[in-house]
Amino acid sequence: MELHQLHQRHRVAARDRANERVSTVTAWCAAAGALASALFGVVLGQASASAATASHQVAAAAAGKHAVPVHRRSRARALVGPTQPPTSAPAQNTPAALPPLPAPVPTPTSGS
Amino acid sequence: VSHALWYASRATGLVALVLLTSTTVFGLLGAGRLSIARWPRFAITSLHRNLSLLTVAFLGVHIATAVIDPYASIGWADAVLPFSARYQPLWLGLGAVAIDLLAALVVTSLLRERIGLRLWRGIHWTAYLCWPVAFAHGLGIGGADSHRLWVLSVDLLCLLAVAVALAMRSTATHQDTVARHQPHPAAR
Repeated sequence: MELHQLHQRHRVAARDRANERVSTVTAWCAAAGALASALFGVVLGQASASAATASHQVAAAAAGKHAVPVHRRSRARALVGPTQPPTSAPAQNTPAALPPLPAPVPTPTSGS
Repeated sequence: VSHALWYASRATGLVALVLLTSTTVFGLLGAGRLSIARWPRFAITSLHRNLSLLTVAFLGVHIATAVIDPYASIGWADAVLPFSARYQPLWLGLGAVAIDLLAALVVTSLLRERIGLRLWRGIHWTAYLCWPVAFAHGLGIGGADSHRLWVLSVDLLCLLAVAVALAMRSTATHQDTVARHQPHPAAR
């Protein structure tokens, strides 16, 4: 009888320990999820911002103009659905992307 | 503020996918009756339930930030009515399907005592559809952010985890499962 009670007590203690473990892991998952959300958000934001800065510098050096930041462009691209035509990249509208002008034709300056 | 909402939506969506993956993995382990000494079956089932509720909480933030952000003009209805949105109808529609399936899974699990085991199990089979649909939504809707190497690595890890758990589930044998597939002695 005592052995049975001891066994029963051992089982209850094991169950309590397992339940406690579940609570601890759940709390850690919630905390890790919140932390990961903040981290992912910052990393995604910084990656877009640094890409935008690089794009800005390259476009400004090439065209002497302000380029549209990459994160804005990625958001704009995301809005393009399958039925809509894709918008042209801003770099295509810069003078550097235009075809070169034909060489000037020499004109006669004086009649002979 | 709009950019913060945009990235918060992306980040919570990714975390929700990781949590949904964990929920699916523990669900598969529980269904396969797999357990270890420190993690008995009831503990795995409890963790599966807690993680599913945590997933719902993160999904709530994911949806709320996406709807509040004025840039994409996603409505509350677009989050639950599949393929009705103007913004990326296919990928957002898949997200709405995943949310509807998850809602059905959570609600029927909470009402399991009332609806009966057979109906609950039948609806719970849709969990096998919920995860791939949510995964496809994440891959497709993220645009440039989804194609970053570290985001793809997280996606790949999720895929591997579910594949391994599915393999363990399908190869697991238990005397109850074996008995279920054998003809009943009275029927002989």
